[in-house]
Amino acid sequence: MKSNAMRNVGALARREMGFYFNSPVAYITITLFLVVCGVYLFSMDDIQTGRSFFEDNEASLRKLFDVIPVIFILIIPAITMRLLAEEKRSGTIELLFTMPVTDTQIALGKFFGGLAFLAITLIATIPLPVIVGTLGSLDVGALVAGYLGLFLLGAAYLAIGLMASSWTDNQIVAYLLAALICAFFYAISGMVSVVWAGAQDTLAALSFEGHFANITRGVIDTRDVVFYLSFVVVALVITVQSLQARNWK
Amino acid sequence: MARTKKVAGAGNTALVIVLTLVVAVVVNILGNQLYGRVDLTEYGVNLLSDASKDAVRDLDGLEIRVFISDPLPDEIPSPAPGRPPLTTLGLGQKLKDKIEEYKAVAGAGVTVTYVADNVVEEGKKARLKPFKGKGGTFTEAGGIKRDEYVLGVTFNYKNAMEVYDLALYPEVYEFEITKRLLRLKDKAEHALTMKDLLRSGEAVNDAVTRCVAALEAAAPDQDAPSGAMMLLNPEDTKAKVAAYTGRKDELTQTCGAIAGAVEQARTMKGKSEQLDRVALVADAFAQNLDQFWTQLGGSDPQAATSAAVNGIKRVLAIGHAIENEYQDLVDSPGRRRIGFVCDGKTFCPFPDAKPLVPKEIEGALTQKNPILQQMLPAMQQMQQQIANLLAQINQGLFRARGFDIVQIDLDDDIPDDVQALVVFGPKGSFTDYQLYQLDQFVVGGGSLVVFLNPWDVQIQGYTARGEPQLDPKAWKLTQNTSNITDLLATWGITPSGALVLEPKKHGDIALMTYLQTNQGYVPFQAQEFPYPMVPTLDDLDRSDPLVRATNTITLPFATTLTLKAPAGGTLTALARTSADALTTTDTSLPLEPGAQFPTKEALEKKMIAKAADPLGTPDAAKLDKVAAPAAVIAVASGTLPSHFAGKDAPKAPEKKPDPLEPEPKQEDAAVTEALGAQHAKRDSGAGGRVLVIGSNLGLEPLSKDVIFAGFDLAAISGDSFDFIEQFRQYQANFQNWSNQVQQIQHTLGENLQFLSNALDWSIQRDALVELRAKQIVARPLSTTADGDHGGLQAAAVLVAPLLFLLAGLAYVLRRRSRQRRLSL
Repeated sequence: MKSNAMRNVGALARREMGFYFNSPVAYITITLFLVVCGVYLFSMDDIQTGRSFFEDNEASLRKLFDVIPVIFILIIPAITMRLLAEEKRSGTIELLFTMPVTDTQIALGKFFGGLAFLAITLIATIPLPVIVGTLGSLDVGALVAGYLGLFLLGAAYLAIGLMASSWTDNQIVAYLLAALICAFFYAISGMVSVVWAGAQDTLAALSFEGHFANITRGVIDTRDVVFYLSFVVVALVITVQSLQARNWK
Repeated sequence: MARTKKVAGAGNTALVIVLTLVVAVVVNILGNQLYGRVDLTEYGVNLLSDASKDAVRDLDGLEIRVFISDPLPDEIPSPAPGRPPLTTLGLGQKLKDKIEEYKAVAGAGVTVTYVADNVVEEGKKARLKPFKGKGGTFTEAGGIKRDEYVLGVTFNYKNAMEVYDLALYPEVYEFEITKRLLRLKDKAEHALTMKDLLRSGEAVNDAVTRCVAALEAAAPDQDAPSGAMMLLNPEDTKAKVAAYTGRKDELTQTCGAIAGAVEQARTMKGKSEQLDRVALVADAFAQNLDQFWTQLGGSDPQAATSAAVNGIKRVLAIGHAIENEYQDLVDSPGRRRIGFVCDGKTFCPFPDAKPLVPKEIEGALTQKNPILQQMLPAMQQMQQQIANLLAQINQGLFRARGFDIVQIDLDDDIPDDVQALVVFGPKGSFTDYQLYQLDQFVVGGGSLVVFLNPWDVQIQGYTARGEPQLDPKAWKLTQNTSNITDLLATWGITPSGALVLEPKKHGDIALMTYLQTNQGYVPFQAQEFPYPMVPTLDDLDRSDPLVRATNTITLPFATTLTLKAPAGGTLTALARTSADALTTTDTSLPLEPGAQFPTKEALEKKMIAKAADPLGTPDAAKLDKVAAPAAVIAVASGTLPSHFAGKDAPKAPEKKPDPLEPEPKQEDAAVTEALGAQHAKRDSGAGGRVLVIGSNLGLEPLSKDVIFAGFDLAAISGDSFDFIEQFRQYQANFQNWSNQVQQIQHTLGENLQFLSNALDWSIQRDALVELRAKQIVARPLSTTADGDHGGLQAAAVLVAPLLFLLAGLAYVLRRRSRQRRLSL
């Protein structure tokens, strides 16, 4: 029974992967992402320090890890917007519902499909640390932690994107909703000053940025990992509930 | 029916979502209580180092109180002027995390208390400095009272206490906390041996504090903003006079305990400099209080009014000053001081308060020689400027960085609490006895840090007429000689004296450009030029924490060191020149930027010019290649021999009696014998350490002896006008000092971390050096040459993404063609 469910989730994930990688769109998207990362790392001044990579004279990818979460806010909703919204619009979701898969398996399959896309995107950036590593002694531990942080953050963005995609049959609406929610949770710590002082700690604890900053320092803290996983689980549960809503709507 | 189904469905969905949210929140809350952390960084920079773990484990029974204002503002103005605001968001959690890590290591041996109520007030009571946010409340007077916050920790161990306030920089939390824990341990251990002194100081402090409180309570200030305003309000003044007069007996009785406490403290005079100061301030307080009572009870009503307003303010100000002095006494046990040697024309960051011309004879001199009426105030002004500069350097470079520095005269005994001596850029020689003092200090287990000053480089110096020497031919390169090199050679570190030139790796020199006007040359702006005599060293011994965190060290006008380990001793070269480095002792080396390595054409031109005029053009300076990368910074440790082994110890100079100081007490025979045993000559010893740096980091000596060199009171006592020339020379000396420092002061900023490491290392705070290295592990790029950028950028920006795109497109096309074949 369990293996059947896993097989279903795997098949759905592969199907989603096929959608991405059997057309040039995924390669063009990832290539653009790589170009932006490379240009920002080596050719542009840091937003915070105002200095270039070579002026900083430090073999570190912190500058890149600071900007990728922002780029992800634009890219990941684009990956997720079609996951359910397009199926709803074209009616293929009804076909999916007739198949021997549960709503949870559908949500998980699509989520893991997106996650695989995210993993490939991150793997494609490996030439950047390799180049930096040839220039100086790179702290591999901090690098691994940074990638793990990006993966967890990306997973949370993906779950949010999938959730937004389950709410509508319009891809543009799904994209905008997902981007807005991701941006809200990423920048929530910056909004602290405009809200009631008593909620500061709570809002700061909900900030994607704060938890991500901890991980990119090289520390894997179970609190940060639990935070991201909780976010993924909550978003996936909402997605499943949204799919199940067809039964009573 | 459909409606009921819809409501039930929506209800179920809402319930599931709410339950999931609740579970997620609970899991996160539990996760915050029970969590684990793994530090993946190479040197474990984020978790506690072994040094910190040892420091906290050594303090069984440590009590930590944490003060975190809740909520903290999201940002506060930066304490450093001109810097962007500091983000304080999440700092409270970070401080808690760090404290919890210490707690986790120490286990039950440490108690942590988070102060939750009246945090700011409680923090202030615990000596934490509050900081202000941007927000505030309007006062009745129409001003704004900024909100105050505290963020800090107090550490109590046995009867000692340390405070870490203004914890605004999470990246240094571990360094700052461990530093305090190490101090706390020393303090607690030494406090036992200083029990009587501390008790005596406490009695004096208590007596004065009680008296101050009683005086303030007797006639509390109304809301008057100043004393001047009070004088304008005769009713209030009258009330004050009446209040003090009416309660005089009661107040005199309360304050009567001061005399006894001071008397008791005086019996321990000379045992603690800090206790002496506490007694001195308390005595001054008592005297001013007596004077206040006399004025108040006198027949002159104006004097009484003045006493009630201004006299009492002075008394209270002195009374409050004792708090700092007492705190200094409380902090003194176990303090590790660094002594700056002020002999041998060194850079000595202590202002000299003694005037060149004693006040008593100033009048007589100016009467005899009217020109001195202008000269003496100008000299005093110059002396004041020097004193201010030295005070700023003392504070900014050393005290603000937590170093407790004292001035050392090697002709006197070195105080026991001095753990390290620093000889900064000696330009002159030391007497045998002074060398002996340094030698015995090291052989006895102390640390010695020597910043050499091998060359005096005068570029764009000022003439005695006050004109800048703009012609490079007039610029001077002079070799300094100091006999400290003989002492260092005993420990295997022999300064070669040759000036290092790095043709490829070097810093800049900042030279002034001048505008020619009718009034002569006017300074326009400083411009930096690459300069090979300001070598940048990147061949550092990264295994040593002293330089591990340092990218490069730039040492202006440095010399190389020849190393030969003494028997039983160990020598380590911490920094070396590059293999391309050159050295010279040729004082004809041209000092103009870019002139040290003339091109072939320029040399040929010179040869032609020389042939035409043999006296006109000097030869190119003689430059020697270093045989291999040569040491410029080195450390000697282990068992170090004495420079005076097998020789008689030089005699201490006789002390000149100071007419202002009372006759010293005759020590009894037992004390003299004990002191003699303590000062017995050692021929070798372990535990001592010597760090030698082949440059003075650009800090030229700024003492009275150097700037007012040759000043003779007798010479100005006559009615001669020759003194004017001499005075101009003093002005030129001061200008030249300022010039030299400005030309290379930018390199000092880069070397501050190394300087701090060297000083921490000198007082055996190796744990702190290790921690500082841990915080900032240098990961410099191996190449920063311009040519390499283009290729790298192309690889990163174009080649890798293009390869990915092409591979992807190839896969898609291949797949499509396969599908087409299948469909056919």
